[in-house]
Amino acid sequence: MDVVTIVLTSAFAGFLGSLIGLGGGAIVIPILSILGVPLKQAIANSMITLIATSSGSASAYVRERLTNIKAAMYLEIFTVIGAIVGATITLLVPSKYLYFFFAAFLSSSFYGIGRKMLTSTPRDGIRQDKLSRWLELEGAYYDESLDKEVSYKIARAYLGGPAMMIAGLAAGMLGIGAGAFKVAIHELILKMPPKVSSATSNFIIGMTALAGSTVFIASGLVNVVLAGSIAVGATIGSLAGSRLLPKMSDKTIRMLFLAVLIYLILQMVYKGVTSS
Amino acid sequence: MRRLTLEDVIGYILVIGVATSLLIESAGLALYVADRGAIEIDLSDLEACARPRDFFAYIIDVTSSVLGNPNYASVMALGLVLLMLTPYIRVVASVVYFAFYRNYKYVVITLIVFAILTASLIVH
Repeated sequence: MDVVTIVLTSAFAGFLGSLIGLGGGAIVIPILSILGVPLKQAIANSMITLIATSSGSASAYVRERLTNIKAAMYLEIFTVIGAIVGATITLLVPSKYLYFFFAAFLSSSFYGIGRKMLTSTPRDGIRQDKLSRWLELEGAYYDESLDKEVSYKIARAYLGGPAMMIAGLAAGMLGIGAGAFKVAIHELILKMPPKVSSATSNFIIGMTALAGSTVFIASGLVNVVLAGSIAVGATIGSLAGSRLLPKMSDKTIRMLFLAVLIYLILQMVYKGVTSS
Repeated sequence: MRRLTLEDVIGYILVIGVATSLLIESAGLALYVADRGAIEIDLSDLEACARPRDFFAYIIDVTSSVLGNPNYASVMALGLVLLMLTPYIRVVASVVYFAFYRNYKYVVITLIVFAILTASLIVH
């Protein structure tokens, strides 16, 4: 395993990840483990680089006012705690189980496909509970496809917080962003409009990655050369992917997504079964 | 001119932090190849594995090492430190912003996130 292989592999993972909307971590960790990096090291080193791969689009969404910063700050209390606990669990449990957790959790990404069929405008008449109102969880953004300002309200913050702790736990354990899972919570529980939900989830991923990384870096699992190579490669790859994305058809993306996801799940199950 | 909002500030922090850290990491990778004369990554290389007990003391160590006697390990460590500091500074900026607009509810919420992260960076 050498620097060039890691940079190129991570670039490929970042590229594919940003094309199909699956975080770079979910792709780069299985590939690193196929290349022979021990799973825990792959998890620890790729988690830091999530800060880099998520920040480019997070910055763009924030400036376009798609991100709900107040909702993000509230939910981050929960994901940050979850990620710290999750990363600590990873240090303690045998790798064999982590492969199966990884495979099981990747399956939550199938939500990404079903989601495309949902409506893209927020439903009217959402009744806010007391906590959500107290937290001022509402906002407005300009929707390009509708050519108008869309305002929305967020509900059930009391359920969304604890649910995000589970998302953070999984992210910290597996070194991934758990974006699909976060988006599902935002839309199904908190009733965020899809665009706000993607943007806010992307924003939170950087903070969750930092929280998990605080545990991993202190454990000595982070190798600066490995982590640096992944970060440089994955960021270049995901930038390239986001350039190509508008030129690809939805059908191609969906097929690619399914193929990659199923391959990664099978790979991780196989690794789990064959590891001692 | 439009008033600078929290969104703008956070957007710039994220982009500048990540871009700077990636530039430093690329420089570190070049140093690594020049120094080692090989591109092989040695996973058991202890020099490349940080194990900071206190992240803030580690920042000072890494910075003084880069300024005094730069080598691939310290340069790449500096890049990673900057990467980890990017979301951390984003939280600090949010606290300042909410305090400026006297939204004390959100000052407390952001301070909670800040406190958890800080504790996790110091206590191990």
